[in-house]
Amino acid sequence: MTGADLIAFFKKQPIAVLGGLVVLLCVLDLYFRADARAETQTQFEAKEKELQIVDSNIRNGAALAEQTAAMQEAGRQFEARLIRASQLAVNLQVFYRLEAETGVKLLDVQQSAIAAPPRNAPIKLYSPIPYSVSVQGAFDQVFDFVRRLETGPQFARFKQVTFIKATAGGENTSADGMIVNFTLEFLGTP
Amino acid sequence: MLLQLKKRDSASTAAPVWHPNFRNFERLPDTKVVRTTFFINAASLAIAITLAGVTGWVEYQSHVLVQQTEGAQAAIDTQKKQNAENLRLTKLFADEEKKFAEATTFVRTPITTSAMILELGATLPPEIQIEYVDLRPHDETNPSCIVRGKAAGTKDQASGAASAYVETLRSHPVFKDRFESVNLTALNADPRAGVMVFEIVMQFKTPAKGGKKS
Repeated sequence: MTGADLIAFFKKQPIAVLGGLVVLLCVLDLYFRADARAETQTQFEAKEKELQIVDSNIRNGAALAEQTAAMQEAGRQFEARLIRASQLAVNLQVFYRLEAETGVKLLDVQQSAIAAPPRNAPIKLYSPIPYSVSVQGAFDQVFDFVRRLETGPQFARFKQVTFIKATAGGENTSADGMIVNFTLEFLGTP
Repeated sequence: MLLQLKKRDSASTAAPVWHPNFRNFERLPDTKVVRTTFFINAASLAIAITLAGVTGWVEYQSHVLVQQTEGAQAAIDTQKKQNAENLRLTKLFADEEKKFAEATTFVRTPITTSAMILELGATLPPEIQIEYVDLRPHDETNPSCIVRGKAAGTKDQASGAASAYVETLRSHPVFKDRFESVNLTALNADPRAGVMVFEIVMQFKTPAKGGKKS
């Protein structure tokens, strides 16, 4: 088919040829701009999601400044309750003060080294500082001692507690009647 | 005669009459009631209009999406500063929260020592005397509580009392929730004191992964 034939065909069927050209252009547009349109759709969805997050952040953060300030203040109080392993004398004062307040006899108190965290364990902000303590006294006294440690300002955790009733003539002879040995951990920093 | 006529007719239909055809069909006018060109034009126009409509609609939607994306970006830009500040505050908040979460995890225990002693005291029958309690709630290999004591009475009465005490511990609501098993592991006569000495081992429940302890 030569150019003259094409011109002749166009002259004979101008509407059909124009229609065909329109169809061709439309098909080309639909085919070649499909990726661009998909990209536009993706960009829109991403932006819309980002906007939703931003809106949500703004909406939910109405009182965030005050809440964060309160949290930071609580955090400061929290930090004050932590034990510093390096401050041995200050730490042992906790037990000596309780001894004086409860009337127990503090037989032994030792601060041990901080154990290395197990491998692959999640990173912790603080370390448990272990203590081995032995006290003697009447049941009410030693019970009070233990309870004060549990509910005291320090974050305490009893790893092992042994209550032994002191028996006359026995190894744990005591007029007060009870010996308590325990391994305790305070939450703190090295 | 008729037979001969029939034969002649059939011979004439078998051989078509030959004549030259000089008609140029392309130049001849379309004499149909509705011209073929009309159908061709109508069909091509219909297809073109439909496809142009579809393409236009798709392009319009794409244009609207671009506009909406720009609008969203403008809104994000407007709130960018406030959002950044909120994110900074959120990080500070989360950092502080981590401290409390760690402390909460640290002090979490199946039962506090004082509560354990109080509950043991509350469940103690008159014929039983506890002399030794070894509580290890955080022992990773064997979280348990060992209770040793004396049961008064004749051997029969004392063993019955010890056994009943174990049942009491097993069914106690506080212990039932926290201990997997409560077993009498030793029951021996102490001839010097004239009592039966016993040992009860209470095994803590292993907490489910990620589960909460009370």
